[in-house]
Amino acid sequence: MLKNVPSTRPFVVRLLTGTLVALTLAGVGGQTRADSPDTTTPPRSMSMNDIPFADYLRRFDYDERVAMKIQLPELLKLYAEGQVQLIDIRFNEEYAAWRVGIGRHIPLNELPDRLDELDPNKTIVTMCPHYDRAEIARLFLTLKGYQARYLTDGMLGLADYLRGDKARDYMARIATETNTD
Amino acid sequence: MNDPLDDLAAGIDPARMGQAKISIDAFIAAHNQGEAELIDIRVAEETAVWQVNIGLRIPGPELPARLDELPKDKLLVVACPHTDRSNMARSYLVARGFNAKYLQGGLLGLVDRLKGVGAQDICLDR
Repeated sequence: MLKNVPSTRPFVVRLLTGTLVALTLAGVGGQTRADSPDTTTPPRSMSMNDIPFADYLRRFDYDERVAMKIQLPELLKLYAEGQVQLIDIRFNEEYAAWRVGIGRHIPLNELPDRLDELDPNKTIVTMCPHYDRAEIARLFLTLKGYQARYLTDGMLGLADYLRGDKARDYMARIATETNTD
Repeated sequence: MNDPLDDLAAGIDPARMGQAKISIDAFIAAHNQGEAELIDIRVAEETAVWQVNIGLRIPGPELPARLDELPKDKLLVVACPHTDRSNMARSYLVARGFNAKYLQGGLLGLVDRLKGVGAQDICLDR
């Protein structure tokens, strides 16, 4: 999984502020590149845990390609164990039409302003009917420093999977849990 | 007087199967006109997992005891995740004298249809 390790920060800041600024700072102050973050101001939208998109892409590898996704069996297991926070990121009209009985609803366009509802100690799993918008949400949360994955099976897969006796057994299982969200 | 089940059996004909089922778009149109009622016949544990926010929820096994809850003046559109249980329930309701069809494509087809901007096509206020 990706971690925003401090050692990458000078490199990252150079990317953000532009090579010219970084070179100027290094030349005038005689600073090493490691000192430059202290003298530059990140864009206002950035916070300490943010991962610059370009940096994320440069580190994207086969492991991350697998780690960013989650399939139903693992999701249902981790959710029942209280290790996952499940987020339905569909629009309000979609949520009004139908919803799943587990997880919480935060529309994708409200996600940037509702990060305080997320549990940083859990893996955040995003879901939408299929998976395209869930992946946008997953990427955003990852860049915000969260452990985030998207449900490849989508909400339609979840609805199809949890029917009949599987629905009965799973709801009975999580009824005894208090740490699910 | 004919036994309704005999009439049902006599209707098992390709040309007449359209009478037994309704497409999702046709259902949405009829629902928005107030002419059709969705009957979600999944069992309680299933409706706890995910809910469609229109229509009635009457588990299939409870249908015989709860016929009085069904509207008489509307087309009853019976639905389950796919179509096997809804088809059985639809046959039962027709045999009991109701105007009923099963939802082609099932509830999964319906919620797939109601994704994104499609969610705004269903009238939730009725």
